[in-house]
Amino acid sequence: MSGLVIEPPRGKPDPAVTPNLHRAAENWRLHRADARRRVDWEAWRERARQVRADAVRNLPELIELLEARFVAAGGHVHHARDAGEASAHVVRICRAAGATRAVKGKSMTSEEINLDAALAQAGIEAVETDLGEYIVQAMGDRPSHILAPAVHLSAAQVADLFARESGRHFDPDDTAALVDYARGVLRERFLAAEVGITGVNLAIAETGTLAIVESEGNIRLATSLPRVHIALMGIEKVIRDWEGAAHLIQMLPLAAHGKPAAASTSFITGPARDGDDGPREIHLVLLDGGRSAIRGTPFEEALHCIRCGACLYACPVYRQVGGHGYGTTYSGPIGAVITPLLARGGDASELPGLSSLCGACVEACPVKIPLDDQLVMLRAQAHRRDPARGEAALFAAWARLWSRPAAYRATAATAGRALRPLWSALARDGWQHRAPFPFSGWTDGRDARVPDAEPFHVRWRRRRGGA
Amino acid sequence: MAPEDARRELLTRFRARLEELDGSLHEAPSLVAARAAAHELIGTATVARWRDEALDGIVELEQERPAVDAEVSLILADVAVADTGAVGFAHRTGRPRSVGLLPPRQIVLLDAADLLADVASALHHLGMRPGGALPSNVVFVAGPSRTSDIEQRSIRGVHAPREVAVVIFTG
Repeated sequence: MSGLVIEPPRGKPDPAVTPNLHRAAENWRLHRADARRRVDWEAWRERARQVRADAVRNLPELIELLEARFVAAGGHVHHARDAGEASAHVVRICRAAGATRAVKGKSMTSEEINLDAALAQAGIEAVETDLGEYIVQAMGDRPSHILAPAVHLSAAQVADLFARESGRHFDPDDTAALVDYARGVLRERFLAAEVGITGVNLAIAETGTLAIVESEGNIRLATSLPRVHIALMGIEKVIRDWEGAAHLIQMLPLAAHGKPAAASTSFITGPARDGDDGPREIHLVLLDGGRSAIRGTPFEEALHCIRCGACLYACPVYRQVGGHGYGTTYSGPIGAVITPLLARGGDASELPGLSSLCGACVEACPVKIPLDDQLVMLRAQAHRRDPARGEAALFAAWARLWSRPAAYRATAATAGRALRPLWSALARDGWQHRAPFPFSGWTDGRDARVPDAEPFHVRWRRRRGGA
Repeated sequence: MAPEDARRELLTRFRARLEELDGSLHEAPSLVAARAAAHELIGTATVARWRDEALDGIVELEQERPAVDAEVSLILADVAVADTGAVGFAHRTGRPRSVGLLPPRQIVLLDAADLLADVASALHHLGMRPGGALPSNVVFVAGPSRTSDIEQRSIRGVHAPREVAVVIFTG
């Protein structure tokens, strides 16, 4: 089974928070300019691509090496073919440790396997500790960006949430007070937790070391205070050696934020030793989840992804609809590519349509994944599976009709006039939010503009005539 | 470049990166001077510290607290990276992870001889290579912990220190 969330978007993006998304994308663009000034960007990308290509090409060998070295360092390794097995491993480890309270560091893989549901069912309380994830979890919501899970929410919504939780008043403009409150609440959780659950950014096979980068310090706490650490990773995150690690560990913050370094980077090799006060036990859950099947196909490069989030902010579609518009765990261009691959088509086959194929994602990608080519290939695959002949015939007829100026003029004007009264009656501010069937198929997920009273070509002709 | 100029260049680069990440750098001509500078920075605040000898004599015994109650953490870096503004250290006996994490302010002593140019050299310096016994936990810290999760507003200090001061000493 796949645990990838694939569901219709929950309503439409809130127009009030679209500016947040735009601000975030704009910030990213400014920082990206910094990143490119700092290093020989193209050479760095090529080097990063080589490190990832070597890893994915030699995946079985490297996973075997990683396991051997991880075990030699005193850790335990668990293989999971799919989401269900991965969740079951985590639950079993928690139970064996007698744990009922877990703290989680941000991990998209845990979202992918829907771990929270499995833990809740097992009676294990798991609190997200990344600030954005904590907010999203407390709201019963889902992350909308790989690195900025709460980018779709406003400060006012966060202030309301914290006020409901604590019975105190919060000023949405006092961001520091909001952060302070969350720090206090989560500090207690860290001190009480028996298990820390995190993702992994890179696993260095030659020494069995896990590398995790972060901004907030919650990963360090989750991998230091609880007596058991469970790390969850997709098998493709392994790399061969420290030389590659040194490069990628710098590339990740550069691509993600344009910063020279993440606020902290942890390198973890086995459980605590030599009087170190860290966890007594460390477990690595290796998730395949459809990844092996992508190797050796034309889509292999999708496995090179280091989850920096750059292609999301670069994408004009993501910037408009936000992560929730995709209705999937992984959003943006990389999400539109890997979701159908990991889920083997099915309900995700329409996702590759969420792209303008402008190529901005390819240019942004620090490991040079040809996302645009892959989107096109996936569209072709989906079409071959489900040719939708009726639709194709309809579009062909429409194309023939509107290729003739006279026919176009006649029908475009008529269509606008015919639809307008019905459309306007239901619209607000020139936008149609809830159209009747069959147009509801469109407006359930997005708004439609009310057609103008006159088509453009009519107005243009009049204006030209009048001038 | 003469060795002295090369060291100066490294230090300039390190300072620029660290300050860009909201950390601060203080230079001291000797370990004794570094201890005095750290003493000054700490003032009367309560402190949790690592047991490294270099950190002796900076705070009074009465100022010391367990990590969970202290206002300042006092630690020693094993290495620093001019390219990234990060300091790196391994945890072991006498160097608990909680000390460097829980107090809101952090003071890091750094021997100028351990300031290296790039990440790869720093990892090598820490013994991160096959064959040896790697430390169980090595952390690189570049400035204070931070978040932009609420409307992209940049806030310093979430779960880890909100203030990081590095005191670098020569000799």
